[in-house]
Amino acid sequence: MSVAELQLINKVLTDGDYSIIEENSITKEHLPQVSKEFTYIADFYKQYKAVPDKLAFSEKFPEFEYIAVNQPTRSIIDELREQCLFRRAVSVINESSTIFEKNANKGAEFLLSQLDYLQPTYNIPYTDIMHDTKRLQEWKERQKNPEGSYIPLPLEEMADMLYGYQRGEELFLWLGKSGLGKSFTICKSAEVASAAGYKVGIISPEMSTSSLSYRIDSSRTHFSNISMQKGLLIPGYEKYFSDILASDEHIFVADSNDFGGSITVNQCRNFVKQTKADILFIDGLVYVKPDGYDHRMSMSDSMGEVGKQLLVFSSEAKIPIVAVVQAQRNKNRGIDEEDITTSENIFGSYQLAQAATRMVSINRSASALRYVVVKNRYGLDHNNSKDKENLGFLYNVDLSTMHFTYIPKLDEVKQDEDMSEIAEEAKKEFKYAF
Amino acid sequence: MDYEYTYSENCILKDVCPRQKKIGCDSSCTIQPEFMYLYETSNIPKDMLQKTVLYPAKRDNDAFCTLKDIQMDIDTFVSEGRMLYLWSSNSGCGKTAWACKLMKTYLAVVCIGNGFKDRARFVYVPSLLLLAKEFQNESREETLDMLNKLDLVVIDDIGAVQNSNYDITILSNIIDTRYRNGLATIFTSNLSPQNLESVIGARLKDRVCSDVVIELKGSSHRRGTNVYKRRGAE
Repeated sequence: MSVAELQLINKVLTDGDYSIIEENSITKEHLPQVSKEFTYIADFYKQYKAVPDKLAFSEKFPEFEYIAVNQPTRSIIDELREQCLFRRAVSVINESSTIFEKNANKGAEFLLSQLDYLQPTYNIPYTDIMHDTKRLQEWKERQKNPEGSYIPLPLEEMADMLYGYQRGEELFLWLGKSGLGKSFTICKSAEVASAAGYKVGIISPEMSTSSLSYRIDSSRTHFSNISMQKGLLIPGYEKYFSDILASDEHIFVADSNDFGGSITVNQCRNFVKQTKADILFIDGLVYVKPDGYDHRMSMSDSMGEVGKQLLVFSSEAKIPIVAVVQAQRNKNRGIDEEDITTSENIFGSYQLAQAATRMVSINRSASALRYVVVKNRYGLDHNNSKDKENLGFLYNVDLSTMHFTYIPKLDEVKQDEDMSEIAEEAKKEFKYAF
Repeated sequence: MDYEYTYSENCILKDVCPRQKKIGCDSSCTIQPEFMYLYETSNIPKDMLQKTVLYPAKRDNDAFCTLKDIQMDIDTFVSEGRMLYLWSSNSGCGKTAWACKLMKTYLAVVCIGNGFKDRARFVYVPSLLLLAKEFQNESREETLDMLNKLDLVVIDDIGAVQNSNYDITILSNIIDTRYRNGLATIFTSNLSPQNLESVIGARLKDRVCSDVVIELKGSSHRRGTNVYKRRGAE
């Protein structure tokens, strides 16, 4: 006897719920070995709008075997449909081959006429959002603990627009041309997340663990990471070390040597499982290959696939995945000169941009860095901004000491009491500067 | 325009800066980088960054007072799109220094919250006209475009060289666009308004001298000497 057929009848009787039959359009054809039992239940339901209880059912079918069903409903349905399709195919192929033997034209006509009948029926999972309270629970959770759903961003001024890295269903990309501070931003992010009490995982395909660690130290202490690299005297560095050794913080770093050269999404998954990280940073998404990677895959397909797989992983593991991607150089559009304000500028893959939940581009603006939110699945981005002139968040950055100083916009200066006072006085006093 | 900014303890605004008085002067200051960006992109000559004290000749007292009035009201002067024609038949009497002083003051006044946008540009007319003929030069188009848009432009030494029809076209385009769009412009020249007309034409002269016209009558402050000393040495 087919196990799936037995499981379905048992599940309906145990749960007293007929909806599994109705919603999945299960008919007698799916249950040839328990067709009598099924017909009895279906007729009973038709007449009384209820499922018969086990006592009544046992009286009718004393030989029926009762089993405990722990398998997910969807897998039982998939199994029944696949078996049903197999039986249909066997019947059609046998019949067509008989006709083919007599007349090939008639055989082909028959076979083609039956193709619709042989369409596979996949189970598409869905949610009836009008009768689903999961989001209500999520909302209540967020009300109770507004910060629990997000891990803080490295630059607090962005929090108004982006809140933070969302814990789950989050593939957050930092996008920029080389040498603009993408890796520095990731390091600062990691340090801020760790300081907030989260376990941090970093995959560093380009930089060695020690180079990356210096930047994290620098972000915390503002000691020059160049001095650390050069081995110059840094008063207080040893004291800082004794402090972090005594702390509960954890930042787990794996560089390309640790991965033996190539990094796959599955390895990223294992890294997170092993470290139990609350957030994963990948300093160079271009180095990650998707599961099932084939050398014939184009760069675009490969990166797109990586994006999709990482997003699925983020949802499953309930952690944000934050990665750095290279912006493409487009001479025709003068990208080297202009700010990146759309999500079309990822080097190698537009598909990756589609998979990303949020993207922030890093642009040079004079000596400062301008961060522009180019995509935000969960809210506004700068493309919706009315004030195109003052796009993004502007920071004066000293990458050696990891100082990021926010440069306020004129509106913000006016709104802040202290700054507004200084600005007003400066406007008067600066007239005497020259 | 790209430039490298590094924090300096010798900030040019330090003596009058309210932030310095309230919070102190440190590398987290956002006023200094904003001002230095405006200064660097304005093309003001390097030797004009520091505060310059200009002593008027007796005959220039009134002119200096008017220029001081403009300096103290520079934000309104610019927002109203005013024009200043500052001329003297003598060289070295402080025309360019005054023009730079006014521009620097404007830059200092607007730097807070500016967000690294270009606001003003200083152009020396002979250099501008040379650049206008360098069609392969990538900065040509950008410069000419900016001169039509920026809040404040100093056009230094207009009429200093004989102008071809092409030169007049270039100047006309800039001056006329700025005049029509209400953008403030400061001109310096060694030519009186009457003489300017013969160099750039009546129509253009009419626009250049349509607002404030100030003459400096003092003689040159530049003095040659037969003694060599290092600068700054006693």
